[in-house]
Amino acid sequence: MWSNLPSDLLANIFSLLPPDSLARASSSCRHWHTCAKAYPLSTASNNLAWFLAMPIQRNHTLLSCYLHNPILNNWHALSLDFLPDPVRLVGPIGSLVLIRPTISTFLQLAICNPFTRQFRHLPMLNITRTKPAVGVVMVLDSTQSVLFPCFKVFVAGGMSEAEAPRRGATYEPTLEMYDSRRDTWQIVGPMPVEFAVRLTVWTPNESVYSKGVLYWITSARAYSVMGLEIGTNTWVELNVPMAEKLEFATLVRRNGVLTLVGGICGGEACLWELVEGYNWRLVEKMPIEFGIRFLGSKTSWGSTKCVGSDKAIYLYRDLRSGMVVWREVVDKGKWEWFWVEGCCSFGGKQVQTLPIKGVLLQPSLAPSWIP
Amino acid sequence: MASSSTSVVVSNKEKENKNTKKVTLKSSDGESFEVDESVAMESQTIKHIIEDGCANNEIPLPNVTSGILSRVIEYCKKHKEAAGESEPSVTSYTSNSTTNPLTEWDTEFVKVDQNTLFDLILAANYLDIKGLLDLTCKTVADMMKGKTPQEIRETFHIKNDYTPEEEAEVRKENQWAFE
Repeated sequence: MWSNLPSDLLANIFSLLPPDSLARASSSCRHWHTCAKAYPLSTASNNLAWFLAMPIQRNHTLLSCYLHNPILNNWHALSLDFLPDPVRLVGPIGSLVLIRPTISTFLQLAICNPFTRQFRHLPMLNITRTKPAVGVVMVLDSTQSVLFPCFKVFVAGGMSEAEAPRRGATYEPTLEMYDSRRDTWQIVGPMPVEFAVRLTVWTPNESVYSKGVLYWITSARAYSVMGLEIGTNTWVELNVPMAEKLEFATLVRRNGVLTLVGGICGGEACLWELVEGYNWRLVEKMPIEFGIRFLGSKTSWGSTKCVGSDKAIYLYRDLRSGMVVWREVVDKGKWEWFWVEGCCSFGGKQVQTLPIKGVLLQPSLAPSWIP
Repeated sequence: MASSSTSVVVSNKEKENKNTKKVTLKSSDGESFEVDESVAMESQTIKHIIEDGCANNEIPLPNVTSGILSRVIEYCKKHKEAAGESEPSVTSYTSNSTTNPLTEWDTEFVKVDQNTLFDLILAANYLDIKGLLDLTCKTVADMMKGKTPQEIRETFHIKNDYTPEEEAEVRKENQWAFE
């Protein structure tokens, strides 16, 4: 009876399953297996984003990454042996991960889905550059199909190669854009040199796209935020609250709004929202008991990292230490703080204390169209 | 069944000066069910038939047996009442269990044997009743959560059509979920 359920109805049911349950259900018989792979997980809000921790290792191909299941609150190990080159994580694109092969100092980008083991290089950029800022914009929102992801990647600044033997490398004051629908890069235009310099020198971490602007924050003090207004190709710079006193600062997007997460030297971790007129409003502080637990024996916020999706914000350090999560609890309609134990052992073996870069991902078990 | 439909008709007449129209739905096994048109229009399929003027006296539903059809009608009546006199679209159905008073009723409604549940899904799909389809699919999804493939096969009486080698291959694809 059930093995004959029409595929579209079965896919509907599968879209309600969290990825671990779907993975097991898809192994029960051929029909269900085909169906699970053919239809994407819906990006409906009943499916939470999962925290994926990619170990940072220089010049070694990664063997595994680690996944945290937010519903059952346990960890999984996911093999990355399908990656051909050593990579660094750049950021998420829905269910895909944007990565940067590290074998070259010049920027090259690739995308992968760690669940379906798909990997693909993006075409080369028009202008060769090192250490530019990279930003991702999803073209469509929740109606977007996982099978045909539509996104744009913006690359700004960086240093170009030396043009002649005697001349040194210079800052590259141009902006390029990749459109997944065309699978090509195009040069959008020039950008102010001072922004190119800042973005290169301070090599920002992930970008955040909110309300038509792509934002980056510098990677160290004194923190400031740079924004690219996509529609008009204009740049803005924003001050950051307590810029001199923050020991870490990250941008995330919370319910569509640009949010700054920062740890004050000798103080608490705080969250500010960007409100009208490019002002910041303090919206939340991490409760002290979580802060104490998170910092452990450390006295500074310095090694704290942070990622967010619209519905959750994770603060983390390395693989074994615990994480602090601020997440929207759907049934209550409000955000709450949670502690998540780190990944200490796996399959009976101790896990090394690895530095990691985290990303929040909507797992998809269905292969996307990555040509 | 008869008494409950009478009380619905009476309350509708008190509240509205239109839409006391009825339609008759005929199941695959020849049984006829008279319902308020507004209740029947919880089904988009029936709504289109009526709006296209093809309703005549009876709407035949060759894909739905009487047993299932009576349950579907029960669902539609309950949800139509809860939505009030406004549009027959599923305004009452929310995923927020703390504010939706129908959640308890819905939970009881789907406490049925698997055959009935299966038929309800097919009927909800054929009749295009979003709320019922979401409810029944969620029920099945909840039955799958947390189970191993073997437990899923046992719950849903599915034959394992893989050889041991094939099954090992398939598990390997999603190895992480088995550890």
